[in-house]
Amino acid sequence: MSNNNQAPQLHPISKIEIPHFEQYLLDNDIPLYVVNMGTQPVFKLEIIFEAGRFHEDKRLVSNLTSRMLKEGTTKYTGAQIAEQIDFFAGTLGRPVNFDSPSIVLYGLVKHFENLIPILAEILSSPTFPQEELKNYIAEKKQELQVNLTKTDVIAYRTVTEAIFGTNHPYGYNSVAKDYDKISQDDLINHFKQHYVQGNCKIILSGQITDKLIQLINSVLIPGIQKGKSSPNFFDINPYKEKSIYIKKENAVQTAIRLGRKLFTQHHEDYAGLFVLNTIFGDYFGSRLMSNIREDKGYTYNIYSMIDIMKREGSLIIGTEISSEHTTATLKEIIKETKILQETLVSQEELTLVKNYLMGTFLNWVDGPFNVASIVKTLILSDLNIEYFNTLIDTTKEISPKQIQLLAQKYLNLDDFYQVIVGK
Amino acid sequence: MIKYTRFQLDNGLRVIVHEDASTPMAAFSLLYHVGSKNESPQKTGFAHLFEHLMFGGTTTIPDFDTPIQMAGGENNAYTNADVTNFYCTLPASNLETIFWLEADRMANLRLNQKTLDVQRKVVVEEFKETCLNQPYGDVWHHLMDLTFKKHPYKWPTIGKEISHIEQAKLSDVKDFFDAYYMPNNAILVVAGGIKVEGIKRLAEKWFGKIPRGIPSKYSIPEEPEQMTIQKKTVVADVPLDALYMTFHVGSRIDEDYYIYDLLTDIMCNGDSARLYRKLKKELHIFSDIDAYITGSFHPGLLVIEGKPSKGVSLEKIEAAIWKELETLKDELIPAQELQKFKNKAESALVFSECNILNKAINLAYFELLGDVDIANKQVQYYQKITVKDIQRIARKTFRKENCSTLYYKSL
Repeated sequence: MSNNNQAPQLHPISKIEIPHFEQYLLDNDIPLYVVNMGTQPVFKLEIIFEAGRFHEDKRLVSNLTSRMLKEGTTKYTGAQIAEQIDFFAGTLGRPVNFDSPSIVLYGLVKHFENLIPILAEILSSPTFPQEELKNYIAEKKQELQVNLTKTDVIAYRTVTEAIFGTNHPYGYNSVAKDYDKISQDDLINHFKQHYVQGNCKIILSGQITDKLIQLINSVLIPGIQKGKSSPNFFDINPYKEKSIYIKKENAVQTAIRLGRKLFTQHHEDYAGLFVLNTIFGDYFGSRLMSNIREDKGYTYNIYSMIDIMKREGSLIIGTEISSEHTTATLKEIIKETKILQETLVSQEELTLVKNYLMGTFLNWVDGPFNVASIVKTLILSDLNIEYFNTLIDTTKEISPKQIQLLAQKYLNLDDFYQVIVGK
Repeated sequence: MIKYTRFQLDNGLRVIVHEDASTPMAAFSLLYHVGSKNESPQKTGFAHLFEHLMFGGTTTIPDFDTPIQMAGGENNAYTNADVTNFYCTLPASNLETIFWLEADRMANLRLNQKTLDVQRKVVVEEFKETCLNQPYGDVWHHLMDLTFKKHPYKWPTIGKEISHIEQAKLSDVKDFFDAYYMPNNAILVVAGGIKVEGIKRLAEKWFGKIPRGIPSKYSIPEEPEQMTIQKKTVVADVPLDALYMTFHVGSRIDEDYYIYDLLTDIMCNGDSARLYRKLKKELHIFSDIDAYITGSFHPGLLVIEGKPSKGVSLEKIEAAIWKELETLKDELIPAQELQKFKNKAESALVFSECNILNKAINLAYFELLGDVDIANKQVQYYQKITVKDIQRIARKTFRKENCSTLYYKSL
């Protein structure tokens, strides 16, 4: 048996710095951010266009435009594009983002030169072939049909729609009939108006040399059209009814989502709320997990999360539980919010969360792709590096009293929509 | 290229260290060679339930997770048919904390009724969330049961049925701990901003005094060769029909593993892969198609799964798949096509070395397979594969009598 059970001494992390990144202005005035670090000869190239849902003339157009970009250009068919990207072992992603969809290319540095011309072609002359669109829509409708049998999917869709309203870009959900309204011309127009140089920002990370930057300047971007477009404005019309119950007779578990509107990272309470949310439900030792999973065993997972977009944010609490525990679980969630509002968090717990978060931040700045993610957050939300420093300083300095005041301000269950999907 | 140092403690614990000076973090992976393949058919789901119980505290340290969070770390674990792996990433300066905790629970785990009661419920909810409350969530239960007759790969790691988990007794889990949780059945890997000398000292200090154990004598039944095609139809409340086909292949240790891997890549990895291109993008008879191998410790499976497009029958897509498989048997694939997937495999390997936790987990698994240096040999294994190898493996594998087919039908 191990007889030395003395806990090792801890070394608190006192300082975290974002590694240096370069900023260039390319020939056609597109900003390029470069994170040059890492041990492997790899790159990640992310080309971001402010061309999301706030720029749509019709629902779903922004997502479909982004998905269909690689399905054909004036020079190549979709099959030829796929063949070339696969041959040079590139991976093309198009992460969903309501504000700014992007095209992400991962690959080995040695293939960069061969991959860039294909990407340039996609960005300059996509044709959005009618036949491919028709097939893709048929596929998406089938996928939707499967997703709409899942209680967690229904609950999430409902709570975000309740918070932002059915007409808001952050609130509306995909439905089959909206897919049917989309034509090839809609995608062509969306691309022409919004995938333009004034809406574009590029982040390049990995083992980056001047040669790669040169290739971006001389091969990738010349085909991107000049121009800039503006987002539309949308009112937020949240649901009047705060409590929504959707019956699903054959569900084995019930999905609960509680959600409220918040704000963006620019808000003065953001950093403090980030810490509060961690205590409440955003790590394994959180109040919600400790009580509802580790003590009661009602669920496999329960969380609260802050979801911040460019223009708004939300806080969502979610879990899946056996139907007979629905009432008890809701009661415990409410109880946990009350405790945070009425009782000061102990120094011991707060120190733990602070240390945990400092470790998390250290991870955020580790490796080129993590740093590129931070750069993306900064440039998409018009933040500067001070945002990150404030988050760190607030985490280090926040007091139990401040946590309590924030809980009193933001964890009132009256401000939350309650969505229950199940038996 | 991953440089590593390997050594073994007197009690049999194998230790592998990989220095990566580019990061201030460290990754720690402690792998026990026990998974659902070590369970008896009447007590399935045990290895995974046990993984949960490992977080219940010990006689000396009541709570496992809190000290890790206090050290700025993040930890978790997974169980599969072959292994149970406990891992953690934390600032390298606080690495000793995880040595203290993992060594303590290897030596002093306190299995108590309260933890068992709560975690049984948690795992039952996990079972419901992942298998029962998801469309097609129980497919692995049906498919493994159809494909394996004797080998414990017959049931999924989560367990054959909920009642097995509900009936788990404290004495059962204690026996399980005694049979598998010992230094001579474990592999420890540490990677990141650390030094080999420091790890040698820590490994000796914390794990060195834990006595060697007596490993379980339980012998896992071998799967007999399949002689006839296996078929099953399941009808469930799902929106769309789905098709699943499995073929018996070798284990992760076989040299042919890499050929199987490229073969499934050729079929479905990426937009230009032939089944994806032909059956989904050209003929539009699939809305979704995938192929992969299980890469398990004992001989495993090659799996093909897909959903037909609206209005297309399962019989039709099954026939279309067989037609493609016959082509792979009859005709050599073009050299260019093979090269494409070698390029992709190379890239995937390089990317897998970008992350210290990933590297640590891979090194542990290769050590388990018998040669940690596989980590650095894989590139060559892929490079030497020829178009004839692909055909040979396709011919060996894609035979009706080696196939199990599951129709998952909508009500």
